[in-house]
Amino acid sequence: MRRFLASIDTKAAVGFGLVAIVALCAILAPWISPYDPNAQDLLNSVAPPAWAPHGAAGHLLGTDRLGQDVLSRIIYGSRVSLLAAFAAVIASGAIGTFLGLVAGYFGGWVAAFIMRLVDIMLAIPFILIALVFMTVSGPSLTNLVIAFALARWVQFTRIAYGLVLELREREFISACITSGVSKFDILFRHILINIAGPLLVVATLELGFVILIEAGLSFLGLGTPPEIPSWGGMLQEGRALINVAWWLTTFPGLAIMLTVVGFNFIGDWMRDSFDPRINIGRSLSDQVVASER
Amino acid sequence: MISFLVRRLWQFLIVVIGVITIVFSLQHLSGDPTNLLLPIDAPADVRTELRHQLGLDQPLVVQYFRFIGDVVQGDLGTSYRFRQPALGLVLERFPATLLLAGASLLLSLLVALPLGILAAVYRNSWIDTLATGISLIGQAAPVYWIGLLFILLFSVQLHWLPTMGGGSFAALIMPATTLAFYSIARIMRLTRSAMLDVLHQDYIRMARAKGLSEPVVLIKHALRNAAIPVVTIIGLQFGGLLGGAVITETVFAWPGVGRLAVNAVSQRDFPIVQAATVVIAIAFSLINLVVDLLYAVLNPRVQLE
Repeated sequence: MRRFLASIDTKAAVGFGLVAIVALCAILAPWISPYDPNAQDLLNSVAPPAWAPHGAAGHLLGTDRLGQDVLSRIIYGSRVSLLAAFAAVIASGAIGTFLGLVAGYFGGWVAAFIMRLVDIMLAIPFILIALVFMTVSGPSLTNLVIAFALARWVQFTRIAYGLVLELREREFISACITSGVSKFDILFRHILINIAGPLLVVATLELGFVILIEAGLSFLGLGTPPEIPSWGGMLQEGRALINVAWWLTTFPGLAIMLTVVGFNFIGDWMRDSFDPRINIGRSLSDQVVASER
Repeated sequence: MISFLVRRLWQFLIVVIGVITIVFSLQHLSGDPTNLLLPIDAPADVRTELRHQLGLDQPLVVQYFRFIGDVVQGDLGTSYRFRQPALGLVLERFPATLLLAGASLLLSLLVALPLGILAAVYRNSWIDTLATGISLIGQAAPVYWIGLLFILLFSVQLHWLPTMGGGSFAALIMPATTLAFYSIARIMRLTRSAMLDVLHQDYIRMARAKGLSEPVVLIKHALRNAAIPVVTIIGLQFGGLLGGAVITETVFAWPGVGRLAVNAVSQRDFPIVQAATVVIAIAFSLINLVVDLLYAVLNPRVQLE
């Protein structure tokens, strides 16, 4: 534990701090937000932040077209972002890790098939897969999560596959095989545990990616419906009023950026502090986000 | 070289067929594709007629090969909103997207390469800090948000640039800069780390020991070797820009494939979305193919792998 704490540098501390704030917002939203996020106050619509010229008293970050409090909506919006991110990353991580383990361990045509599928998925920008899927199944948060699971597993598969290939040649795996440990146990009890660290790094960086893209799709009107406050949806409203209300655009975007910075910092720190024997290289975060935006 | 070329072309072909297969399966995911190909309020007899016309009463395997045959012949369905072939509509807007992505890439290179090199050479100086800051923002800020901030600053406050539309050079500046932000971050980071790696090599110390001037050491000895990983990522970035253009085009109402596709989604005009996906995926694979071939010419070692 002491070593764990000692390894946290300024960057990691900032990352953990940012993510903790967002998580607390999501959990405590009903208690800490100054207003009901959907409470309309048409007399006070499109009011600038309290501290700006002509600002509306009591609305720290101003109000939107319906007089809804921007700060409260940002606090509640963290729920959609975190929920979508965790659901999507758990689903795609489970699928991707499993396929990577299978491909790496069994090799042969199984690996050839899975890895070719990875190549194909990587050739389609994610946003387009999401668009196709949303056209077919209709825009909603659930469908968004399914789209992420269907498309983002490849990120886990490529990393897991490479790691398993290396690990398979190690002596302790040969020892397992000769002593008759079942394939299932080798894969999930011996190999999976040894590659969990790097995969956790991928997962952390993916959380940031999902938050970015979820907001992007909501911004395009393809994510959460307008009555649920979400950062991307707020930006969409902000765009319509960009000539008169700068605060509607600025603050939700800032919330997205700071959250993503938080996850990226944690991911970078984890990457640097995990087992250096498994050299996944400094390019891991590059690879993860290498594909499209 | 020939065998490398053949192998790489074969891979390209498989990826293209795979993309078509994925689009085909997504199309059937909803159960009845006529839901996607017809407006929601289409009468039942039209629906049956279309089902027969499209061969949807045939076995799935037959349908699949027929679909591939259609795609090969350039038939990706007819947009029900425009009542024109979807592929034609997409290709019509493709040059605009290509222009946007190309301009962004050019801009990224112009900014990222010098900044990355300087950040490596003057490590831990203010320029390195600046580079780190830019790459941090580029990786974490949503592109469309940067775009909106640009509009706030340059159109709403300063009235320098038009907020939307295409066709003029002035209208290209903001979307291209917005889109470039992300690739600037990535190309710069990679250039910086590739340069740092190279600068620690013995042959650089040797070059300095020989008394070569610093610019010669940097440009002739370091940059050439650092270029190899950078070239690969440029190809990848171009593909990423094509995808990233989807949202950027919507922010700035740029008349490209992305905006067409996004509008088509809200109108459930599936043939358009399908055609846009196939065209962009093929363009992306084609660019990767070209980059790989160039790379093999630059660095003959990869042909053996």
